[in-house]
Amino acid sequence: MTRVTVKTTINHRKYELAPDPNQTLLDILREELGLTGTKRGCEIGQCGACTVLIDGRAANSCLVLAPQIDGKEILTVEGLASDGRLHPLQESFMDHDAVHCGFCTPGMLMSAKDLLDHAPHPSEEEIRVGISGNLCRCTGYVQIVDAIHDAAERLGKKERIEN
Amino acid sequence: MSNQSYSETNESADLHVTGEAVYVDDIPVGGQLLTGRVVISPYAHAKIVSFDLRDARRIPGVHAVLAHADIPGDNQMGPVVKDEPCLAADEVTFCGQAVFLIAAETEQQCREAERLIQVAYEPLDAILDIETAMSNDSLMGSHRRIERGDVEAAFAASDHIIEGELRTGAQEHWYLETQACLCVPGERDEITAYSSTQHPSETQALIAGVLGIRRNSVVVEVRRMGGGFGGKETQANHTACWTALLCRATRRPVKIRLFRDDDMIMTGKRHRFLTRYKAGFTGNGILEAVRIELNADGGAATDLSFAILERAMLHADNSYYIANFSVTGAIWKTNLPPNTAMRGFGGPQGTAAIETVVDRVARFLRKDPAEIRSRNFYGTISRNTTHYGQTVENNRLPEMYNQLIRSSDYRERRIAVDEFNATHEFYKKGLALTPVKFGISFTTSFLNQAGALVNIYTDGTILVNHGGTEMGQGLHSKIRHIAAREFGVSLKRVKVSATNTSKVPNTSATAASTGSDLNGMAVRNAAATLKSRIAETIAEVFSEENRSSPTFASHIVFEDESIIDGDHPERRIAFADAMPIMQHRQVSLSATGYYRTPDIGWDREKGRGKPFHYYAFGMAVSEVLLDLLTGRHKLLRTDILHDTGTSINPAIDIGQVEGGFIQGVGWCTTEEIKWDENGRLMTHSPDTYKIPTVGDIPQDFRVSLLRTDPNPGTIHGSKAVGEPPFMLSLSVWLAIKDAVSAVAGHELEPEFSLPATYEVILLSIEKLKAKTLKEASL
Amino acid sequence: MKPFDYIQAPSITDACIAAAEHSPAKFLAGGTDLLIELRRGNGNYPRSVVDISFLHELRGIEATPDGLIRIGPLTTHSELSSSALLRKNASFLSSAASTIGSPQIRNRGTVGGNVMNSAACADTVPPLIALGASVTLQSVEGRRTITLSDFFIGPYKNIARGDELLTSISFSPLPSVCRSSFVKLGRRNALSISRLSVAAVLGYDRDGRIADARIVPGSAFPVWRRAREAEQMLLGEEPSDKLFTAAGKRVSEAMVSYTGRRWSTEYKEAVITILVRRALEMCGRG
Repeated sequence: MTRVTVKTTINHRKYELAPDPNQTLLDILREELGLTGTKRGCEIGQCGACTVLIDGRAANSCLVLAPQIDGKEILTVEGLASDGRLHPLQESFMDHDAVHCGFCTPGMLMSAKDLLDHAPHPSEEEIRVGISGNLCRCTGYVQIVDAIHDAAERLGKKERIEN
Repeated sequence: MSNQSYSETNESADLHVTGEAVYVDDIPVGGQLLTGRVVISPYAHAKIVSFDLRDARRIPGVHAVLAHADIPGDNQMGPVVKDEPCLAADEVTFCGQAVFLIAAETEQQCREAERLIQVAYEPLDAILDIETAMSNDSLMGSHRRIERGDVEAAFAASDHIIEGELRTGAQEHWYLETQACLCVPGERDEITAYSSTQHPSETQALIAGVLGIRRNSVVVEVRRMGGGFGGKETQANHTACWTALLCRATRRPVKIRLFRDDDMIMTGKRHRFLTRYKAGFTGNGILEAVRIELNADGGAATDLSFAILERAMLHADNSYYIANFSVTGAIWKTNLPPNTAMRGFGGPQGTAAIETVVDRVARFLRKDPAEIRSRNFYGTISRNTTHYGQTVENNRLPEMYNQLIRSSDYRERRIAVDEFNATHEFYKKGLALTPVKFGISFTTSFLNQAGALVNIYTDGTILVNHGGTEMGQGLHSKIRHIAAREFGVSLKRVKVSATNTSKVPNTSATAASTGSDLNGMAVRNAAATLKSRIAETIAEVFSEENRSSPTFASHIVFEDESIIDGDHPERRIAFADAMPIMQHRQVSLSATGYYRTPDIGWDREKGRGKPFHYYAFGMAVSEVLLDLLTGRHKLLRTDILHDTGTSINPAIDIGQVEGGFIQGVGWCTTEEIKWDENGRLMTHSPDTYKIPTVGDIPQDFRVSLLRTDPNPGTIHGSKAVGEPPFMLSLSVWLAIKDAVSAVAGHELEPEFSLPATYEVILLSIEKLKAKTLKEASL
Repeated sequence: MKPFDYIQAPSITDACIAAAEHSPAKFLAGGTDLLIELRRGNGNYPRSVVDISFLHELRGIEATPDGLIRIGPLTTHSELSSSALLRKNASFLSSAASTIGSPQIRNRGTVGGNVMNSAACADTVPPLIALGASVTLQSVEGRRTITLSDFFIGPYKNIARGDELLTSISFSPLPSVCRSSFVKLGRRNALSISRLSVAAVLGYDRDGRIADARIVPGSAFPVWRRAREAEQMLLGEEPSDKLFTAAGKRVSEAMVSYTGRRWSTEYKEAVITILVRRALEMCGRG
């Protein structure tokens, strides 16, 4: 088994990596780069705890082979805040107590980010579909859905102010 | 103090949303780290005839392959009864039992070594269900009994009798973070275990036990868990013991993090129950006599089964006064993983039994079930003692019933549901109200104790250590609120440390919903000690400045970030400014606190006493829409009114109510555990075991906390909230049953079990239709 | 995951050569099934993994000059569900893709992977069979095109050799008089794997009689097939509740006669009847 070379951008930073081909994106993030915010939940793409964005779309990083991210842009929870400022989703998750044990939170945030990037004014139903691939065992989801609604509003306001 | 953003509710939320929060698997370790793996039994019951580890030990990168004989201390990890070997010796008694341990530099090497372990098993007969256990007299311990009145005589005098059987299913905890432990060796025989455990002190004791060392050489630390739900009350000890053994054998840091499927296969679940009941009642639906026989599947070892059965027996009344009541219980030993604590701890199974009885009584009498429930509620002045003799004090049930019936528009919706059902052939709606009364305290009374260590530093910051663990329930956040309030300072000043057995020793598990009650009081007591020291010193300071009218230490108050003379409010000093004075005057700024719950006592043998400090109450109304042709249902609306006393933190408490309820909905509907005929778990992965997704929560979900008086004798007048809301999910289960029952115009009793999967529902409907046809043709 | 050789194929031809030279090989597309298989490590572990996920020529949905719809096997479920071309010409394929797994799975999982993995619960397959789709397989030995109904031979089994790469899926658009539907039942309301599903197409003549009927249940038969017995009952008839229910019953009987009775049969036979009826109702009454 020979290592392969992978050029990729992770959280806005360029990397040239040499993973073993049987490593997953999740392995690379956690073991090689120390980005442990992305969690190992089930490792078969059923719980969403390892969700990251690949070229802007949510994906289970446990189901992506490391060489497959060659030339792609990866965003993890660690890259969500920018210029030392939290993303409105991060703020609203805190304000709505949408974080209990926290293990699903990073993946939940990334799914929500994909959702709001593509549907800035989501309905309740769209939010439910958007996070339907993320399991949470603590909250009963209500506070999470509320937080996403609120983040959409905050983003909308921000946009209006900036315009 | 830093200005970083933080949440008023969750003390770690800022870390969670940025991915910085550290769980066991996230702790950075140097290059010495080894990966541990547990080799498990493929048989439910078998003799270990022989094994050979030599080939496995020869794999490059493998540092240790251990069997039971390699354990330096006791081969034992039973928490109460010593019937659970750490590694199987001559016999395996369930699929998934640990037999060997491997430590290697990579996961791949571990798996390669595992492949080369040669074991000869001789399969033996296995007991895989309660009925087989009963017919083989495979009993754990003895039968238990709690009784009041003369049940047989009361049956004879009752207007009506019903009897039946109810099955409730097992439930997997499905904490998002699987069992995990990292052990780091220290000097001599010292070892530090970073464990995802709800019970650090027990983890410490068992590690010391298997290693054959003293407890003062073992430190267990828990920063946080990614969910526990009872699954890490005793069974986190297992992973910790295995990791410690590998750490000892290799003298290197070792981590075991169970893979999801392995975790599901190896660990115990909520006990499944087979319950038999008989009830006698009046024409008005008043329960005169009830007999309930609870049979629990304990699995292959005791674990906490006796305490769980006991709680089931103590909750077989739920919210109802039953003059003549007999509850018996037994734990049956099977060849399945030892079943263990899970949120509610037997409460849900006991409650499901009596709720089934009351529901049937209502259907039998063609009365509204909510009405029948309220008629049987415990009274506030009379009819207010339980079958075990405890008085139900501060009973909120009647008041909550009146409020919820109104706020949920129960009566109007009952009519609307009936109208809908009269006009729809293929869809039916169902509506149900269920209450919960949940006893708060460990029923093993001595466990109701807690300790804390509070340090104040000379910059005026406060570090709180306590015996409770954080698993997402918000305990540390509540503790932080309590400490800030006690010292009259802002939240920013207070930090809660990781739970550590070297800071606060000999603690009880964070369980039985008691985390805040017990640890909050211990923290308050520690704070009280510190405050009295500070008050004395500061009173001295104030008095020195005002010799004519001295300040009395007892009149010093802590508020507004300040220490103030209550008699002379102009005499004040900022909290932070006072602390260096304390150091200069040689007064200790560190204190322990201790608390034990007063006035409780439980005579297990007699089945009498006051096992609970108080009761928490709740009530829910749920409405479902059922597709009769597929069994699929939609949860249209749930209204919950819950009693948390004076909530320390309403946002956390509402989150606990919603989360507990939804976890219960999973148990009641989609979460089905199946074993095959060889005792192998079939539903060992999230693609076959279905916990609720966001799509499974009520379309309309209204949760409110009861506005009520402070709860007497608890921390800041609050009530425990972790477990009670779980039981409210029975409103969904019974709403589904109500919809099924509508198929036969509520004239016949549907066959029903828990979980009510689409399949169970559809078969129940089919049977009901067949029965209706048969009756019509007669 | 156990080790394997990883080969990133720069072209279809290279992929085929790699698969032939490094056999046994597995093609890696979205990875949503393959990685689970590799991690569980059961069965025949491949010597090599040939990554085709960078082959842009295997992506996309297009109308070909000869009047067919051609889908590149690397087209993701998300792309299937949002495709205007499919919504117009084979809407039930879009619907089926939109019910798969979760957003994360739909963003990565591909229609080619769904077909090649050949799981009984693969949601895109019933519509594709109803469409009479063909698949083109390519290897160093050449190219062959097979209709999907001849492609599958059992759960997780098809006639493709290990070195054959799926390069295209094509079918004729549904006639404009036809309406299609897809219904499925899982065990909960999201992230669910089909326990049973039905893809259906109905077309009517000018008199409102059924002129085209296609029914393909998922997870019901050991091998996917059109429920011809039931389809025959519908042809030439006027739509009615009674007729649709009878067709459902016919599918249910066929299912039981093919699979025999198992622990889940009692449930499945009742439900498949209903799903067929509902799928037909969703196609409309002409």
